[in-house]
Amino acid sequence: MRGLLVKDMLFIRQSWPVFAYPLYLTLMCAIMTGASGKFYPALGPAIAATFCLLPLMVIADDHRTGYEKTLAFTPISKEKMIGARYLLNLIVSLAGCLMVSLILGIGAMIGSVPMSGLLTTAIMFMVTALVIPSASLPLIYFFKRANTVMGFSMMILCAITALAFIFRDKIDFSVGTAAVMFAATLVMMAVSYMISVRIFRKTEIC
Amino acid sequence: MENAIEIRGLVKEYKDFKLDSVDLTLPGGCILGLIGENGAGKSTMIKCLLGIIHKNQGSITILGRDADKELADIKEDVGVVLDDVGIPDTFKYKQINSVMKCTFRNWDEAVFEGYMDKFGLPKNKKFKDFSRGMKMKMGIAIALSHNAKLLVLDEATNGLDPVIRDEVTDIFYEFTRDEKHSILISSHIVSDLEKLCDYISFIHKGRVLLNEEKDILLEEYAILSCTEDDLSELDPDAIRGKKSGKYGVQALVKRDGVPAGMNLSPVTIEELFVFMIKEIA
Repeated sequence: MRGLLVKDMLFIRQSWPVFAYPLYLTLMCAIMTGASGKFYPALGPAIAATFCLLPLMVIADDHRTGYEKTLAFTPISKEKMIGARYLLNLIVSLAGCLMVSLILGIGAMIGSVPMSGLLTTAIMFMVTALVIPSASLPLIYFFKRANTVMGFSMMILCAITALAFIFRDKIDFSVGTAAVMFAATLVMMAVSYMISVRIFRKTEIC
Repeated sequence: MENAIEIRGLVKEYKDFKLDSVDLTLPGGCILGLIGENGAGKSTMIKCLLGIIHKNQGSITILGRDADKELADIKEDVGVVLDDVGIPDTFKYKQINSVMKCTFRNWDEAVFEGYMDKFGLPKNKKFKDFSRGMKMKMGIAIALSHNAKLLVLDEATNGLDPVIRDEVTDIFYEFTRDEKHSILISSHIVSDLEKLCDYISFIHKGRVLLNEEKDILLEEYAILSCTEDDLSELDPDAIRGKKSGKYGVQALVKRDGVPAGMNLSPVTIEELFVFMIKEIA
């Protein structure tokens, strides 16, 4: 499992231009936060929507380059292959959340905005960043169509981003509500993992 | 010594193809060459062996262990090279080494670097910029760098120039100097297999026609050049295939079924295979 994680991390590091747009969006949101004097929890999902495709890109690239066949010869069980992908989602989401929180926090400090909304925004970021892959990964393993699923996911993510910005004033959660949503997301992720393992066990790699 | 590979009653069905009750044994410390035409089922058999595709029936034992139960652990000791080497495009030697180091318990960086130098592979070039031959060499280097006890090679020498193919063949031969090391190699470049292999297995349309020691095959069979009339006088059981030409007939025969004095010449594995397939067809 460690080998697969290392490979995925190296791939993500080499795909750093992919971070340009999420970073730009985060900066814009930080400016909006500073200028408006308040945190918008809806910005969490909007920014997360640009991050959470990255782990799916890893799977699509494995299929394109044939690395999934190479993976089949390595001493890693199918359960651990799936586990590595879900762990990657978690790591990338956490890293993204920290980065986004830092940038938004700086924007808030510059605009003298109270920090209370930052935690809610961060939690909503994590919720979106974990929900989308949790829904997508079983579909990818079932249909073996990473690019198609990614395409649909991108459409959904664009819709989330647009709706989040349009209704940012109307969407307001307490930290408690966001925490409950996060807990539910973790449960969803666990269920998604079990479904993916069941599907992948029956799947032929090529 | 235990067998490196034991396949019993392997069945894999597709809509238009069936691997039909395949039995195969690779004794420990030996090299088995799997020969078959395109679409014969060589790659299907190898994929079933490695668990890449699911078999419908049969049992597979690798290095004395049940592949159904312990496949992930077994793969620590198996080096694999398929006809297509899959590595992320942007990876160079350093990244590949880092990944493999974390993947295989027995990964040996020094050995990997040694093979990179031996094969003349550039360390600062991205994998996507490698030629086909270089990609195959990379695959072979990876397979040989984690102290594998069994190598499984599916058309691994395709795309290599004759000089490197010769070098790689020597490396494989060297690999089996250790009696605990074995190789299963499939190819349709029969000349490579003839040089390298101890055992030969012919596969045709999903069935194993023959599974025998190479030396026994070469001793047992010969090419008879004669006329049709002479051939018709022979015991039909001694004739395994024939080819008619302008100047007479060439037949693949069992030496012990042919009377002394007839014009027999040594057979190559390739001729053996071609004659057998044509006879079936």
